Amino acid sequence: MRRRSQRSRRLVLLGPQRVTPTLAAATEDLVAEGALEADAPVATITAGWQDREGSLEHLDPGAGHRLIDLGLYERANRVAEADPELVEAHHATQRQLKELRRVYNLRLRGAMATWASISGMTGDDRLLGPEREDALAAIRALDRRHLVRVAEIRAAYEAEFIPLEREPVANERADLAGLLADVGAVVIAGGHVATLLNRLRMFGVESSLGNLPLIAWSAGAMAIGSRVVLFHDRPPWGPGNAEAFEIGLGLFDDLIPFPHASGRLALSDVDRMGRLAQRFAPDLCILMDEGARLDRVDDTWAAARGTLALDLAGAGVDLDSVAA
Amino acid sequence: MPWQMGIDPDVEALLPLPAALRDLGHSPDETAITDFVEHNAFPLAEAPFYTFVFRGAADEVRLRHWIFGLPTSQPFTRLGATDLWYRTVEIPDDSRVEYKIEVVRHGKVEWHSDALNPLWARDPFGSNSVLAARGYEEPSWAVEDTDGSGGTIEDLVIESEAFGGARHVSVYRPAGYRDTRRYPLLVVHDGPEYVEYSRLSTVLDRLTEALEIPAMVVALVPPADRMVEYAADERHARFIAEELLPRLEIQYSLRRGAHWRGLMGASLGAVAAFDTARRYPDRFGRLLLQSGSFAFTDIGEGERGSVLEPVVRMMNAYRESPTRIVEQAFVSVGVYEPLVSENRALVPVLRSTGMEVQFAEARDGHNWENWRDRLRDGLTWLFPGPLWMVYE
Repeated sequence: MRRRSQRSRRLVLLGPQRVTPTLAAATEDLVAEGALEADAPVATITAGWQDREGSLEHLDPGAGHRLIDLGLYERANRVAEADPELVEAHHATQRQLKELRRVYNLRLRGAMATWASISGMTGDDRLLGPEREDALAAIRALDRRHLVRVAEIRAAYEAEFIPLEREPVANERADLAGLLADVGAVVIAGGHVATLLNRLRMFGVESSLGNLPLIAWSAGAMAIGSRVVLFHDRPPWGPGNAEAFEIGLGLFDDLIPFPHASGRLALSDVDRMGRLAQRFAPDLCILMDEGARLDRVDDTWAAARGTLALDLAGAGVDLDSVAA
Repeated sequence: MPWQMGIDPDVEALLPLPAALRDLGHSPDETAITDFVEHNAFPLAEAPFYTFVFRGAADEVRLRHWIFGLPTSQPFTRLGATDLWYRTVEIPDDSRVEYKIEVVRHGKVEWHSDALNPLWARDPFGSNSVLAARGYEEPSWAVEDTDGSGGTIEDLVIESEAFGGARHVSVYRPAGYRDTRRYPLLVVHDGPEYVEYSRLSTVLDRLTEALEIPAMVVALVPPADRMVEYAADERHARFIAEELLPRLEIQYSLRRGAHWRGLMGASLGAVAAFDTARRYPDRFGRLLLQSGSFAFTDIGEGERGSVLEPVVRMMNAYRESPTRIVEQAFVSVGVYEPLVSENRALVPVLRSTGMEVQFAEARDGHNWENWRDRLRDGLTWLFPGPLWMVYE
């Protein structure tokens, strides 16, 4: 299937790599189409693995490619040691965001419960329909407002401290630029999405990528979109409302990846899935299970067979049928 | 229909016989009884009615169960002149009941496990048969994973001034433990028993692997003289807070601050956990209390017996002037155990101090599998894991 996208960088979004690794196939395809040289090294970003960062032994980049981990997690630790003022400012910002998130989730809980209740009501659709729509609109407005507030808090921090220009950060960025100059593609692995996003942002990685092809999966794919949506329909505590957590790097803005969808989403509950799809529309909710793959070439997305999106009724369907 | 245990013969007569027993008739021969026993699962279940069956020579047979509030001895009925005995009871859905069968023969009384029921649970005193009523399921997260990649348990010896001698503690280290990472700490009273009878290490392994709790270090503390040391004994609290905790912080890479430390226990072990937090409110931020022996009186000293006297004094004083001793407390209790009222009464007292409290009840008794089954709710609430944030 094909779906128009906003930006032109060559992107490959993959499903989780633990059981069904598809990274090598992705690099081979990039080589075949001329987007990656056959013997070019490939940079990895594994900051989401936290203290396991750089444990690359299980990653197969395909024949001819050497992996070079950018070490963003460790670089952030070095910055923390070298620039206590920045660290304290960063922590203060994180505390603000944490508090904001707490309030957002409190409001979201009530709004989601209300919407689910109204959606389940039977009766005169002429009467109930506008109420359902209004309940949904309230949630979408809440999501939007939360992300605007997040952006405002971040902007205030960046305006005051200009972190990218502080010496320890600038030194790391210069080193990163040198590493990136020698690679043919960048791979962003999964892991802890907040940690990953934080490190990507700390070093302004997006602006250092040039036009390198990018392969990302799981948290990596989530972090480079426009909205980072956290989700789990069966958490040990709480209602499991998907959460518009953060603004991502914005390398694409027309779909939202849901890694490990079969394990984390109640896919058989079509009403719940339908509400998820409606809430984040027009962005598509993409079910990124093992083996899933999306390629963006020349502003257009192409999905591998079996890579499904949620339609507005909550069913997992080929992207063709929802993108038209 | 309210839950009846067949005390009243008139009521008993109203309880339906299960089809399998009805089909057997009133005077089956040996072959028919053998066939019946071999081809049915026991207790016979026609929820919400369950029929316990015993086959053997006896003068009387009784059901002995651990359900507080009901007569614990329920007589079986003999089927005609055969050696088959049965007892039908009504048991609510989701219940889990531990029981034994009491057999009286020639004036001699013996308690047996139910030979026809393969379900049983162990505890420090032996084992009991288990009735799992409709709706009850053993939690999948308490079943051992076969890949063997769990945490490890090692022994630690601490010279205790509080007790005047060496104390042995076991310490669970999560899989992949690294000195470069800092871990939350949980101190578990009756820790070895929790491992043995509640599969605590398996539960920790599984919940950690599922990212539902963070990888954590867990100190498994056995008492030397449980009935004394766990009964609001100042020496025990001092040992945990002033001797064990500093030693663990030297030996293991632990996160600092009360927020990252918890105390846990069941029965009198819950009292010990609570009393330690009460005496050292700055050291521990989390409490997991299961079926605590939180005996108290509203007037006088009560008649709980000498073991619980210190507990009653401590609880009466705390109830008189409750203070905030931790950030969060998870309290659970079985509705079939004698301590249900004490635990229910504790919850509003704790909440009145501003502590966050979660309270869970289950249709179960005062036993290790009840405590096992509540561990996920308690641990994941007190120590939420990175599940929501991690997408590998």
